[in-house]
Amino acid sequence: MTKTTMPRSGSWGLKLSSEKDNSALPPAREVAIPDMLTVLLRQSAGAASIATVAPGESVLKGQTIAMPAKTGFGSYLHSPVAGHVLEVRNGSRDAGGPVIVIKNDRSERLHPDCQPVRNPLNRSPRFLRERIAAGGIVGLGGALFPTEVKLNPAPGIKTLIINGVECEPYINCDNQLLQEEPHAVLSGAQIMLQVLGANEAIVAIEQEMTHAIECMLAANTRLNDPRIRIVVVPDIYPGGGERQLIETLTGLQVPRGGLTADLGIVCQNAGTAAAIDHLITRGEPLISRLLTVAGNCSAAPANFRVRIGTPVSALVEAVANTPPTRIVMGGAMMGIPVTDSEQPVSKATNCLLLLNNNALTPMPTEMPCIRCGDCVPVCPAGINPQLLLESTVIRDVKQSKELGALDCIDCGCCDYVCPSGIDLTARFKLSKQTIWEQHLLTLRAERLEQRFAGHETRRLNKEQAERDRLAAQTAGFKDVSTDSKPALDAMLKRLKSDRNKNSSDKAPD
Amino acid sequence: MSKLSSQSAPYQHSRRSVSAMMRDVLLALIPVTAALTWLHGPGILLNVAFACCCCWLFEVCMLRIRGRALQPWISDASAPLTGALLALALPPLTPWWLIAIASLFAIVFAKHLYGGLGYNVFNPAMTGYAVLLISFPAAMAAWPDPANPPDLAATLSYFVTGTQAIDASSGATPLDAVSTGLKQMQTLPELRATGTLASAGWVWVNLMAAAGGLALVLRRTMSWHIPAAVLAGLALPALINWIGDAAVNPSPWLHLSSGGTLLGAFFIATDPVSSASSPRGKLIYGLGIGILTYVIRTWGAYPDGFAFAVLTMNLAVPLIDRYSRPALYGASPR
Repeated sequence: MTKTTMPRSGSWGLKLSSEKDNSALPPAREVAIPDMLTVLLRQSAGAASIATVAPGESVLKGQTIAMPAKTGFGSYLHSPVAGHVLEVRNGSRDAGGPVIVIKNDRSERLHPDCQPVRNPLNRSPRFLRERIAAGGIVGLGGALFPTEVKLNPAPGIKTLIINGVECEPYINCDNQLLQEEPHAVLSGAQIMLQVLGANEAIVAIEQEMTHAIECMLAANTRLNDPRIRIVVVPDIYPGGGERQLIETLTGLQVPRGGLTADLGIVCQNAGTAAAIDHLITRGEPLISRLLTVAGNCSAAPANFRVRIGTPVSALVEAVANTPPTRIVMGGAMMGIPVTDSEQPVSKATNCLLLLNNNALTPMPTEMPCIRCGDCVPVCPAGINPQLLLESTVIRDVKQSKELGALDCIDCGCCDYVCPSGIDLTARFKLSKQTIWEQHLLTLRAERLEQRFAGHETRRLNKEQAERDRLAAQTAGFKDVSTDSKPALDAMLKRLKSDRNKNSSDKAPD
Repeated sequence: MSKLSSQSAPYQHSRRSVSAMMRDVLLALIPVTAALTWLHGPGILLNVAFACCCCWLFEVCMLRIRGRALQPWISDASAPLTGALLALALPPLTPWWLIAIASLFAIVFAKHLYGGLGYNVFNPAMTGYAVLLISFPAAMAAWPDPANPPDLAATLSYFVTGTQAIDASSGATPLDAVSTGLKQMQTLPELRATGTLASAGWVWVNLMAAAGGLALVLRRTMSWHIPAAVLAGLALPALINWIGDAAVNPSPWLHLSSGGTLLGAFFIATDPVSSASSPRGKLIYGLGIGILTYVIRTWGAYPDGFAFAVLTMNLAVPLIDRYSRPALYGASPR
C-alpha cells in the first residue's frame, strides 16, 4: 500500500516547531489509578448528562453511570473503576460543574454488560450506532461531539477521514496511538465504513510523524483493505482542524454554516476510531484515554494511558520535578488554563502542559495594532483579524459577524505572529460569546413576544366568545324590536294590565 | 500548590515585536543612506541625525502632553524611523528649521493628534515632507551638483544659517531635468545629449534602497506585496507610453532608477499603519501609489509625485480594506 503526500493548500497556518518526538516512542506509561475519581457529567457537545446512579450505590468498572440529557448531543458515561458512588452533583452550577465522584475499591471488577460484538462487520449500521452511543464514544480530538450523531448523517457519505494529524505543538498522544495500535485505528475505520456505508477511508497523518506513518502503512498492508488509504499531509498548524484537513485533502471547503456531510465526508479522530474498536471488539466503553504530559516542569514528555476522572494533580505528582505555575489542558496554541489542579481528566484531555515562568515564549507587552496585516495570510478561516479586532473593540456585533467572528476556530495563529502582542484569539472568543448571548436574548425576546401574542389572542378570543354568547342570548330581543312590533305592543299591554290588576289586588291591604 | 496562571491560549509567540520591526527597518536604511551621502555629501547624515532627534523629542513631548506613559513608546523606534525617512526625502542642503517644521507636522499633527502609533491615517514622514514641498518649493528643489558635493563646513553653515553660500540648485535631479526639459519642448534624446540625465549616482541610491528593502522582505519584516505593486504600477504605464513615443516619455528604467522611487516603494509606501492590511489590499494600495506617481510625474506640477501619491492612497485605505477582505472559509465567492 503506497502513501500519498498532499501539498499545502494555501497560505494559512504556521510552521511551528512540533516540540515532540516523532521517532519510535516507548509504550504509553500508566499512572496509578487514584482512590477517588471525578467524572464530569458534561463530556460532550450537548448538555450535561444525567446521573443514573445515586450516592452510596456500588458500581462496577464500565457500568453506565449517566445518560444523555434530552436536549440532544449528550453522551453516556461509564464508571472508570469498580467502587461506590460518593457524591452526585446533578446539574449544579458549582465550580467544576456537575460531577459524579466515585471511590475506587481497587477490585477492577468489570460490569457484565461490557461484551464484545461478534462479527461487527456483518452487523447492521443501526445496531453498531446504538452500541457506539451506549459505549459513550465521543470525538476525542477535543470537540467531544457524540460519535453516533456524526455517524448518522444524511445519506450520500462517500469518504471517511480518520484524522491523525496532530498538528499542535507538544500534543503527542495520537502519534503514540498510531504507533502502538495501528490495527485498532484501522479496525475502527472499518467499523465506521460499515456504519456509514461509505466506500473509502483516508487516514491522514502529518508529514513529521514519520514513525507513525511507517506503522500505519505496515498495518494497512497487513489488513489489505483496498478501501483504506494512508495520506500524508504537510506539517502546518492547524492542518489537523477538521475543515482545514478537508481542504488539504480534497481542495474543497465545507460550506460556511454547513456540515462536512455536505461534501459527502465524515471526519473522525484517530483516537475515536481506536475507541470504537476497543468498544466493539473488546467490549470496553470509553473510560480511559491516552494523553501527553509535557512542559518544562515534567522530567521528560511522556504519554500516559489515564482513566477518565483522574485528577490533574495525580499526573503532576507522577511526573513534575518542579512545581508548575501554569498548567494547560491541551496544547501550547489552544489549551485551556487549569486553575484548580484537582480538575479531572475528561474525554477531551489530550495533553497536559506543566509549565513554570521560564517556559514557552511570552507575549510581548501589548501595543496598539500597527495594521501590519501579518495576521491576515495566516488565518485558516479566511478572516482579516486586524479588521475583526477593530469591530470587536467598538462592539459592533453585526459587523463582527460579517467579518467572521463566528468563523474563528480559536487556533491562535494571529496572536502568534502579532508584533504588537495583542491577544486577538481571547478577544474573538469573547466576541463570539457576546454574539451568542445576544442571539439567545433575541430568541428569548421572540419567544416572550410569541407567548404574549398567544396570551393576547387567547384573551381576545375569549372576550369575543363571551360577546358572541351574549349576542346569541339577546338575539331574540333583536327579532322582537325589528320584526314584531305588534307582538311587543301586545306584551306591553299585557304587562300594563297585569300591573293594574296587581295594584288593584293589593289596594285593599 | 501555588496559584496557577489563568492566562488564555496561545502560550507561544513568534517573538516578533513592533520595536524590533522598526529597528530592522532603520538598519535596512543604512545602505541607501550611505549611497546618498556618497552622492550628495555629509548633509544627508546631518539631516537624518537632526530629524531623528526632532521626531523623538516631539514624540516625548506629545506623550507627556497626552498623559501617556513614556515606556514602551519612546523605545519603540517608530519616531526616529519617521525622522530618518523624512530626512532621506529632503535635499541634502536643508536649513534646520525646515526639518524641525517637517518633524512637527509628522509627529504632532499626522501621528499624535490622530491617536499616536497605530492610529495615524496619513504616513507621518510624507505628511511632513508634503508640508515643506508645498510651503517651501524652492528649498525642496535645491539639490547640489553631484559632481561637486558640498563639504562639511559649507553644509553646516547652510544648515545653521540657510544662506546661499554655495550654489545649491545647480544639480537638478534627473526627474527635475526631465520635467523642466519636456516643458521647454525638448525631447529626451536632446536632454540626454546635454548630459542632464546622467544619473549613475541615482541608480546606485535606488539599488541600495532595493538591497535594504529586499533584506527586509527576506527577513519577513514586511511583505513583498506593496513594493512589488508600487514598482509595477509605475513601470507599466511608463512602459506603455514609452513604447508609444520614446522621444517624450521617459523609459520605465528611468522612472524606477531616479529620484527616491525604490526608497519610497520599499520604505515609505510600506508604512504598515497607513497602508492596507490584507495581501490583496496591499497590492491594490501599491498599484495605486505607482500609477498616481506616474500620473503626477507625467502630467502634474511636481517632478516626483511620490509623497502625494502615498497621501492620496492613504485616504483610500479604509475603502480598500473593506473591499479586499479575504474570502471566509467556506463562504460562497463574493
